[in-house]
Amino acid sequence: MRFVLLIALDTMRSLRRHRVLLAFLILSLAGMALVVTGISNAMQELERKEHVHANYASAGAATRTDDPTSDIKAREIIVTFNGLFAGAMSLAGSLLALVMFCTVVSSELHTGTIRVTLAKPVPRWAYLVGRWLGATAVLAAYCVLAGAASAVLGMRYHVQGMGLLASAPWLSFCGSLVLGAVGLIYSLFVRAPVAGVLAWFTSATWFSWLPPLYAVLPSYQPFDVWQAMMLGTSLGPWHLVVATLYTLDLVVILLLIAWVRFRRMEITEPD
Amino acid sequence: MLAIEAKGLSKRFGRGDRFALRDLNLGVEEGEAFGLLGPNGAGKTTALHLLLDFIHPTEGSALLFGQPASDARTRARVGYLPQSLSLHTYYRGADLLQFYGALLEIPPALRKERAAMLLQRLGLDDVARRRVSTYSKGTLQRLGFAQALLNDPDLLILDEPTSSLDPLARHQFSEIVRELKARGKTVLVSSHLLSEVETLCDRVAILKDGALARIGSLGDLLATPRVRLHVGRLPPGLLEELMTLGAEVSMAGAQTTVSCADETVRTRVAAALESRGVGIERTESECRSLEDLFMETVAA
Repeated sequence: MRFVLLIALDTMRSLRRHRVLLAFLILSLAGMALVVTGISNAMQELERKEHVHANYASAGAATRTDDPTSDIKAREIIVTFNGLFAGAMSLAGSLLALVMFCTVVSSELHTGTIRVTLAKPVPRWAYLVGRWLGATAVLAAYCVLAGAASAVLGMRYHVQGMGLLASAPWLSFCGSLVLGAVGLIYSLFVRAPVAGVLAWFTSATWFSWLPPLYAVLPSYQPFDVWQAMMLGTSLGPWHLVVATLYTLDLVVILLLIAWVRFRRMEITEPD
Repeated sequence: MLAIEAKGLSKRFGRGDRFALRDLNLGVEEGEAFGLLGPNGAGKTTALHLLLDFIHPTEGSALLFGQPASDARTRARVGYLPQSLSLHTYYRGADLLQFYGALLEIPPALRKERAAMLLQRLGLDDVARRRVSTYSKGTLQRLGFAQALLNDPDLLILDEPTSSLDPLARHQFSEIVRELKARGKTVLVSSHLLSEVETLCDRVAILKDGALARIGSLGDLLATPRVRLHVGRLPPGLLEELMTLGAEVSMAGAQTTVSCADETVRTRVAAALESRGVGIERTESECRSLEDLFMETVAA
C-alpha cells in the first residue's frame, strides 16, 4: 500500500505540471464561468420582470404591457443554462479524464522514466494502481471544484432543479472514472491520442445497433445529468446509488483487464 | 553465492526467427566486477532488461541472489543506471533522490544522509535545488548514478554508465565503482569503453549476435601462447636457424629478442639456443589488449 501511495503522490505531482492539462482546466473553468454568467443574466432579467409586475400590481394596473410568455421563456433559458452547466462539467470531466488516464502510464513508457521506478522494489500492480489512483485524485479535485461552483451557482441564484445540479459533479466524476479506465487500458496497447479516441467511442451508445457489443460495453447513460435536466427527469438518491455501484463494478473489471495487460508488458528502450 | 545467474536465457522479439539473445548461460559471483561487452545490437541491454524483469524471456530463466528476476523484493538490493537515462523532470534533484529513497524503503533520516553524501560526492551540491528539467546531460547522468547508489546496493547494474560524462566525472565514477568492489559489492557493467572495463572488471563476457562468444577472467582472456625470449648476441648462423623454426627475431645492439608463436616453437627454439651455448636471460609472456580481443572476437 505504501508503494501505491508513493506512486499516486508522484502522479499527482506530475499531473500538476502537465501543461496541456493545466490549460484545459483553466479553459473548462472559464467555460463554466461563462455559463454561470449566462444564468446570472437570465435570472436578473427574470427578477427585473417580476419587479415590473409587482409595480403594476401595486399600482392597480389591469393589464400587462409586456408579453406574458416571456417569463416562461426566461425560465426555460435558465433551465437550459443549468443543463449546459451540467453538460459542460461532464464533458470537461470526460476530456480531463481521457487526457490524464491515457497518458498516466504511457507517457512514462515512452520517456523511459518507468524503468528507473520499476528497477526499485515496486511491484507492477502497485505501480499501475498508484498511477490510476493519482489520476483519480486529480479528477476528484476537479469535480470538487466544479461541485463548489455549482453549489455557489445554486445558492446565489436559487436555481431550479438544484437537486439535479448538485448530483452533476458526482455523476460526472463516476462517468469520467469509467471513461478514464477504458482509456488507460487502450493506452497500454496504443499511443495515448489513439487510446483517447478509441476510449471515447467505446460506449454502448455508439454501438447500440450491435447487440452483443451493446451488452458488453460501458454505458454512460446513468451519468447523463444534462439530458435529465433538459427532459426534466428527476434523478433520485437511488439512481445515484445504482450509478455509483455500476461505476465501482466497471472500474474494478477494467482495472483487472489493465493489470492482466500490464503485468506481462515488455518495457523496452524509450522512443 | 551467485549474485546473477542466467540459465539458457533467450529472448526473441515479435514472431520472427531472430533472437536478440540466445541461450545465455552466465554466473556472476558476489563481490565480482563483471563486464558485458559487444557491438551494438549484440544483446547486452536485452540481457540487462531480462535481469531486471523489464522484459520476459522466451526461454530460460534469470536469477538475482538466487531469486527469480520477477521478485520485486530482490530489487531492494539492486542499483540500476539505464543506458538512455530519463528521470522525472518535475522534481528538484534532491527531492527526486528522496522519492527514489522512499521507493527503496530507506528510513527518512538515512535517506537524507545518503542523498546529501551522494550529491556532495558526485558534485551535484550546487544543482540539488534546481529542477531536473534544467540539468545538462552530464549532470543528469550523475544524478542517475546517485539514484543507483542510494540504497548502497549489493548489486550495481550499469548500462553504458559513462557515455555522457566528462573525463573528471568518469574518473569519479571509476573511483566509486572501485570502492564498491573493495567493499565486496557486485558490479555488472555494460560498456563500449573497453579501457574502462579493462581497469574495472575481474571478468568479462563478449556477446556477438545475441550469443555468448567469449567469457572468462581478464587474465585468461588476454593471455596469448606467444612468448618472447630475451637473449644476448647470437653466434653466426643461429639467426637463420631460428627463423626456419618459425620464430621472429629482432636485434638491438647486444640484445636479441626471439618471439615464439606457441609452445612447440618455443621448445624448438630453446633447444637450438642451448645447443649453441646461448643462455636465455629472460622469458616474457605476451598479452593482448582487451581491444585486440574484442576486435578479434567480433570480427571472427
